[in-house]
Amino acid sequence: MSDSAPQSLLSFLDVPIVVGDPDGVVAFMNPTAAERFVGAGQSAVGWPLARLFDGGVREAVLQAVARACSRGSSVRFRVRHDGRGYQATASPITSSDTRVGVVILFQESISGDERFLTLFREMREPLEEAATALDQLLEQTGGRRARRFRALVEDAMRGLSRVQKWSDELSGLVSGDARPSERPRLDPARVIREAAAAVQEEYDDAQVALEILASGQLPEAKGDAELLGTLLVRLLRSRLASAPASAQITLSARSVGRDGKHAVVICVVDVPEGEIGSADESKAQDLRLVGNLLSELDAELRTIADPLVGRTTAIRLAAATPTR
Amino acid sequence: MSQQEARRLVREGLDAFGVGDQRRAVECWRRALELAPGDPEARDYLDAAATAGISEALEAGPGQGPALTAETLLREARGMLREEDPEAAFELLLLAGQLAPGELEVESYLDMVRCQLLKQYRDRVGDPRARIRVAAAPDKISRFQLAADAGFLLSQIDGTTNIGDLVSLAGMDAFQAYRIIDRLIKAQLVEVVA
Repeated sequence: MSDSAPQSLLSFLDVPIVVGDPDGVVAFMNPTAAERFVGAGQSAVGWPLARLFDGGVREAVLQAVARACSRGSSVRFRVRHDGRGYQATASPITSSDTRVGVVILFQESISGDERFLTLFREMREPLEEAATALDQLLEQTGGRRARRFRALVEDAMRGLSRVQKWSDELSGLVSGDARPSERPRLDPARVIREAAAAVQEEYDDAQVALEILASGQLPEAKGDAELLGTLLVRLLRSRLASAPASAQITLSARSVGRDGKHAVVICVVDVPEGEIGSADESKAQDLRLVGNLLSELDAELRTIADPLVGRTTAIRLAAATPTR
Repeated sequence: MSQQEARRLVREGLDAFGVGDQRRAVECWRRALELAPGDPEARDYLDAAATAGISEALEAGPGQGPALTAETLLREARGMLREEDPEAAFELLLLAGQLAPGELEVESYLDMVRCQLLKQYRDRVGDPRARIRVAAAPDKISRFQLAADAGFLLSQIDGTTNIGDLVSLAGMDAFQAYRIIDRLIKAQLVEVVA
């Protein structure tokens, strides 16, 4: 195949295409690209890529090219030029593992996507303002009398943090800049330590002991640390509410399973005051308590109550695949 | 060499048990105990199998006795708890956990029994500020064929570290550490210094 063959085919496309060489110099651009970015009948072949665009577009293009070359995989990004919005893709061109250039395809974007992105940008500021306000509110609720309010503020902060996280993820999906979805993973030992620390003062005030039983070598688990932390804090507070003075509540985490199928089981164990009740009753109570957190966490929860030994709420999380 | 083979047989027994082959599991543990007569794990699993009636059912021949599942083991474990024998209940629950890994009812009971046992171990071991020291000669210790975690914990006992620090530094959870210390004291391999 001659060198001109692919060029002549690309020339018929109604989508701007620019090819850069390893030195960042334009090696090829099809007529549509020339018309939109340089001027009809003109060519920018031989120009540095940095000269092709101005301002924010230049920065976005150069960043995407650098990322595509360093990653060795395509990078999607958005630019706006001469009143048109583009969903662009920069892909490295490799030959025998050597990078020989980059090809950038500028696909004109749908206006609805841009509206979404504008809305996400609009949302970011008030979310940050709300987070700052809650931070300040938390500082004002240091005293014992305000403990209840502080717990509510902490809940609100966790909720807000989740909204920010999912908003960023959604924005990444719409902009096309999201990397292949990586399932969040968490360090169970760390999450339970932090959850215990969050309620320790309340336990001290109520003279209820809180013990952690976890080895220092637990595998990572699939799931969101923030969500699991919220769930555990709620469970620990709920258990504290029904604990007699001088009681002990245990928060444990263990690795279970074999044959490559591993899970992490986290348990909150207590002996509540009065009748322990049936497992079904306590199960229903806990499920109401944790609301929709479980479905978001992709975990399984069960409460077992037995007058002989007490009550346990157990949460099973799938172990994450070990990272190399 | 025989100790390594015994370890391998204990694991093989657990694998067999996990896939419901109780006959092979019990055979493996028996062979492990023949090779390493003091092996605590093989002995524990055989004891638990005996408590659950597995050994008798196997002696009686195929098709005799109840089918052994995590549910039957859990039921047996509850029975042991009613008889105030949490140690036996714990062994049965460990086996149930092998049959149904991650089953939340079994795991919940395991944790409740762990909490109960931990309290007992703490009461027996005593003041965590007390020091602990090795009380047996190396040849006596080697006869016990200690499991790896017990051997590790024993190696950390230097006569100057107190029990609380030993448990904190063991790298295992408090239940495991206290369980091992309790067993070492019972076997008179270590002693608490007054």
